[in-house]
Amino acid sequence: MTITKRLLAVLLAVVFVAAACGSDGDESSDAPAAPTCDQEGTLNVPDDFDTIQEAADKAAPGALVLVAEGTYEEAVNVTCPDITIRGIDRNNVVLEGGFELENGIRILETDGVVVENMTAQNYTGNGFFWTGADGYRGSYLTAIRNGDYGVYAYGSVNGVFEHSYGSGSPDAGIYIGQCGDCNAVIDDFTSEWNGLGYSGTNSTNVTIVNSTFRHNRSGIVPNAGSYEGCAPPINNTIVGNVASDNGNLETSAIAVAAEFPGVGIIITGSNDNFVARNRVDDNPVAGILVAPTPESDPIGPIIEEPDPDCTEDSVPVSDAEIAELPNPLVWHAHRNEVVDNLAQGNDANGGWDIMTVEAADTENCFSGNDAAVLSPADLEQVAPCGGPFGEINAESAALIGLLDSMQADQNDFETVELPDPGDLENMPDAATAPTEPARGPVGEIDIDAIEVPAAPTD
Amino acid sequence: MPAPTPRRRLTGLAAVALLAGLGLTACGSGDDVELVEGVTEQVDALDNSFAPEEITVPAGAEIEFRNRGRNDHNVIPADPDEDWTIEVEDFKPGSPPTSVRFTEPGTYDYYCSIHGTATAGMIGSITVEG
Repeated sequence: MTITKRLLAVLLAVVFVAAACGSDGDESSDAPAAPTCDQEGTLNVPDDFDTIQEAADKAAPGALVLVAEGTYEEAVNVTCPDITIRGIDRNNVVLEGGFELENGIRILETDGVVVENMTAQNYTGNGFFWTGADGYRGSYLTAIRNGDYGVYAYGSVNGVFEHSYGSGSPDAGIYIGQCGDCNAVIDDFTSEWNGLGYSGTNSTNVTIVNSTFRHNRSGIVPNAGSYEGCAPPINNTIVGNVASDNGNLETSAIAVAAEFPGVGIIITGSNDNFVARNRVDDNPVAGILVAPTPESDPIGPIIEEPDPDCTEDSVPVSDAEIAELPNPLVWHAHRNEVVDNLAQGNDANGGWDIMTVEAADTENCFSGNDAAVLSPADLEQVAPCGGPFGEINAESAALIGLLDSMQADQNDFETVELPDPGDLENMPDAATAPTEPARGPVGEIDIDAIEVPAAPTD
Repeated sequence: MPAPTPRRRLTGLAAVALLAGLGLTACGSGDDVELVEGVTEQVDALDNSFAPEEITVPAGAEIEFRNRGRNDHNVIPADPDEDWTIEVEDFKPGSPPTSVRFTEPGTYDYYCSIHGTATAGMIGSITVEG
């Protein structure tokens, strides 16, 4: 090697050299004061503290950070456990990201935090974001036009999202993922004009009830992938929801949302889910679709069962092992039970009310659904719940053709014109309601008592 | 086998650094610390964490950051006085790796501002030994 080439090699190896001039790496300056988490009672913003962040850094377990009406241009990080951050008025306590700040309120590896009764909008990342939390709750939240997710729990367990609204996010209005036993409930959530209404990658034991997913690219989408930990998703309960009028190509959309538009509920790469008594109307590709997830460029192999203790990221296998993986890696959906749903009007664009493209040996079953257009047409005869299973003549090519016909621009989340949700319901007695650290779902939901919801009136 | 991942095209900042060349060791203590060739440590940004979170390298060794998740990330020094950063747009999922070298011994803590703060969430630490 010539000297010139050797020099070039050295230079190329050094993309940049961080000599950290002016610092030896051990020094610290301008760092924010460490949270003290030691002030009990009610911490009023802005009367007692100028910012939500200042109050959240002082609040002791059990304390209430009570936020007065106003617009707060903040990205709040929460590291004090077991606190409640509450707006006095859901519609008039607004966290504003201005398309510059990343997350409205982010709870970082901190347990038991409740956020309620406020709005977060125009963040480049997420409106409300829990990560690495054991115990969380978000109630009466409004998340509008945020660049990733509206309401987002990642690697977190024992949670509740309820009475909330998410619109205008290119990934999903609400997401719960990467949890081997999430033990989470979504109840009374409206998600519209997002890429996906709900996305749950590798989420197990999530119960989604009494919620509405409409005017998204697609509605409810539990899904699998090696790129996140805790695969595959299993044992989710999806009952009594409205998943209608999806296939809205005017939304912003990324990833799965852009690739699989037009479906009310997609059970993909996900096992042992219970999908019952949902109203699934007027989706242009399919009302309910059970299908495999084709994962491009996987970083690990198919896993049969999630580790119930898992909340950690997926670590790529070695490059040599990755090279041996199928690409795409196909995660099949197994043993899902689709029963007693009302699915109608999903065929206007040539689609289907209920469809599977999985083979009989996956043992997905379909019974008691009120649906006119099934695929295959004899679906409930060849794949009834309780079996026996016959041959399934999947219309895969027709499905791919219809999906292809609906491919559209991803659209910029900052500029999509969104519906005005109007004034949304406030939590009762926001000024005086007691606080309770989040420990997970409270009580059992009577799933059997949940009926098919009435058709939306708006 | 996949093709080797190409290195990122040099940025303006990197070019400036490169123009400084081996003279970079003049920063800080003034001790001469040579760049270490043949030693490359890799740090992967996954979807919510860096792996490994902590590494120890000799001064001058190459540290290669790769985004192997599906989300956007960045790499921000926890000490705001430090002048190395990997921006989101230079660190997209599947992008070529970005390498850094530290020529002065010390501890260099960093984080992803999207998924953490300087002290919590998606954080990492590099210990540079003399």
